[in-house]
Amino acid sequence: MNTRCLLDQLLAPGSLRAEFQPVFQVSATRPPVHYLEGLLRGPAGSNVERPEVLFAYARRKRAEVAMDRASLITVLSAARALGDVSIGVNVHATTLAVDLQFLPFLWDVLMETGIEARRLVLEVVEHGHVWDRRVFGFNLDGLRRLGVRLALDDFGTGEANYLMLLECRPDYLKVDRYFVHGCHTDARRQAVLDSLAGLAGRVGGRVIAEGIETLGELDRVRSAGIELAQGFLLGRPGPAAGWPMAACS
Amino acid sequence: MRLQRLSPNTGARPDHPPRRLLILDDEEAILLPLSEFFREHGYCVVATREPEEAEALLDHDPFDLVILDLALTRFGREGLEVLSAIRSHSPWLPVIILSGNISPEIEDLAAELKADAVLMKPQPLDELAMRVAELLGDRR
Repeated sequence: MNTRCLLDQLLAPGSLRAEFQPVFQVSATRPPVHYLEGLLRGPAGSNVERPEVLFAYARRKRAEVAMDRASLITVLSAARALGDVSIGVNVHATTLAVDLQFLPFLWDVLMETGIEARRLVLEVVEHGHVWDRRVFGFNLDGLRRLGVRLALDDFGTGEANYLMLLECRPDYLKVDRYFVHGCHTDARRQAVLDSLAGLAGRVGGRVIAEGIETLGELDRVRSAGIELAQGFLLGRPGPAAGWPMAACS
Repeated sequence: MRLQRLSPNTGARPDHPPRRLLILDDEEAILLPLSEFFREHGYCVVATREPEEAEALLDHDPFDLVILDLALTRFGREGLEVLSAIRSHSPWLPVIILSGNISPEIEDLAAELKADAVLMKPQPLDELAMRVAELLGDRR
């Protein structure tokens, strides 16, 4: 009889794994990888293999901080094999708003893995709206001083909104795939993308279009002036071994 | 529980994807044979011992029916609490509650939360399968 809680099993060393999906600079003729987003995966074949279920479970267990820490260790450990490319890691806004030990923890992981802070892009995800802005601001200021870049994930949906844009002052706005899907044939989505590209320019960030699946979507995103993109058309998630150092440089 | 042959009311429907069942029971000794039984009869079964895992799955995946243990004591939760959470976001989802101890009070609470059936454990599997098929509209 297995009496261990699933959370304990997931947080045990070696239980979680990371895959990497590229964010490309699509404005270039031969688009280089801008950074690789590390995506956490639960144990293969389990109910929580997919990250959306894994993180939903962690939120239900009120274990965002523990899961985010496990995610940073898992992704950055796997990223040691990736040369000098920048690495994106997801972190809940709530973790940044409650964990006063986040900065020393992150620093330890960076030291342990030998990954420089300038290579790290923290992708802030948010699923709730009640959090302590004081601690959030403290952590964000520390991250910026370390040279860590910030991305606001899933922008335009849920709680990833204008309030977060002002609070976070992100280097990147990751526009949710909802706005990208079919944008080349939908004037309303085109209007949203054009608007976000203009907004990002004014607040000092760069837009990343998520979920590019067709050439039509890629062309439309480019014509909106969006220079960074991610999606199955450009590169599917895969293990670190699938990203040779030469391809990432 | 007793394993019995079942036909023709199964999750396998010609030209349709199999029906998806979510089964939540904190006792593996019940969860495993129950899941195996429904899989053998053509259902796509997702089995879990933890209420939070079930809720996370319900957040992201479509299910046709949920079978729920009433006492999730290993995890300090009550099945009716999970049913209440299910009803708040999926009021259309058929839910069967299994319990080793059904009192009038429990029946009243389950009815209030619109449980579709409250069945005594141990429940003969063929009878449980009949109720599942009925609730899914698959019984011919």
